[in-house]
Amino acid sequence: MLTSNILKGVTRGFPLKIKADKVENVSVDYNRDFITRIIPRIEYDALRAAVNDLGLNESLPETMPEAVQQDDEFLKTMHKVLLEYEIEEGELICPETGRKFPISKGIPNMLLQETEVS
Amino acid sequence: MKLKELESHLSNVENFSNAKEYLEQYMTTPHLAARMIYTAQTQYDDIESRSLIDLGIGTGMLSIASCLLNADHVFGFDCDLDALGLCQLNIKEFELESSIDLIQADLRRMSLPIDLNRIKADTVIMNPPFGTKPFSTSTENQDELCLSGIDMHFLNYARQLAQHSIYSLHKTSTRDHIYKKAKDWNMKIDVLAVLQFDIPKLEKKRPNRKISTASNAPLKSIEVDFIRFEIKDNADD
Repeated sequence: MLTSNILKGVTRGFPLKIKADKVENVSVDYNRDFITRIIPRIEYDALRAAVNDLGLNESLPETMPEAVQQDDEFLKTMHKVLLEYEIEEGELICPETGRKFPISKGIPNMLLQETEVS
Repeated sequence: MKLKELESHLSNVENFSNAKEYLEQYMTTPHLAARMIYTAQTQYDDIESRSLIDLGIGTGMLSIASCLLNADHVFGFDCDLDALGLCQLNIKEFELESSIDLIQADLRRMSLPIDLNRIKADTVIMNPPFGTKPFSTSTENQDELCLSGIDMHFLNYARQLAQHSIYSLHKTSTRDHIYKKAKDWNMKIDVLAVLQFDIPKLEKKRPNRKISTASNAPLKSIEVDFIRFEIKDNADD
């Protein structure tokens, strides 16, 4: 789910909604340092919303804990959510324009049409 | 891992079977990729435990080399679905599925539906198309995708996506222009090596002439600079 969190809509850049047709659960070695390093980059509210939309059985607190580095449980949950759920097939949808970016074989297609490029 | 060992591992990266001329597709050789990434790590500590972005990932050669030298993670971009498919095969071969994430996007566009700020990586690596085909009004639009100067588009994205440094290749003949751009963009620049590059010579299509594909085209030898750019902290000035 890491990739989908860093993509945004074409015009105003709202976080994209995820519609998943096929989600794969994979096992990835836990790298605490890596998770700590990428957390500042994550749009947390969008991530929580995505976890909710996808109906994943993971619980993320409403707001990120203050001392993230010390919170092992939180880091492990973030690891699971960001790296162990792979959206194989689905769509990323811009909430403002309804524009859909397809995801196929885990690769989001962010190619824009001529008309969309300002 | 030693340089020779890295190069040896990279010989398992599969090449394009139907490289597209108009996208200037060719595999970065294991020899070159190993040296680029090995230098980036041993001389500058820019690979191990770092987050990376690969612009124009192609076969995945540079990203795979980086992961073999323990980069944390790579976001790889390419506009071509076939290249991305090949890249996925290579990623699978090296068991790096959780380390390299792919995105299909066109880097010739001025704006992308991607939050550049959040995707920012420590290091950007790339072997961009050079755009060796000069612009000509007589050729069809869709063939002229890799126009002269396209590597500057890539570099422009690189400088917005890199937290710290960029490793790239550019024609030696454009070096003065590159220096000027680096200055405009407030980047430190170091030409680390000058290489002799053989890229498939892409011919203009003419009637009654056998059209060469990238794989059987005569090779054109050009001088290429291997360059490291460093994003300057405003405080350093």
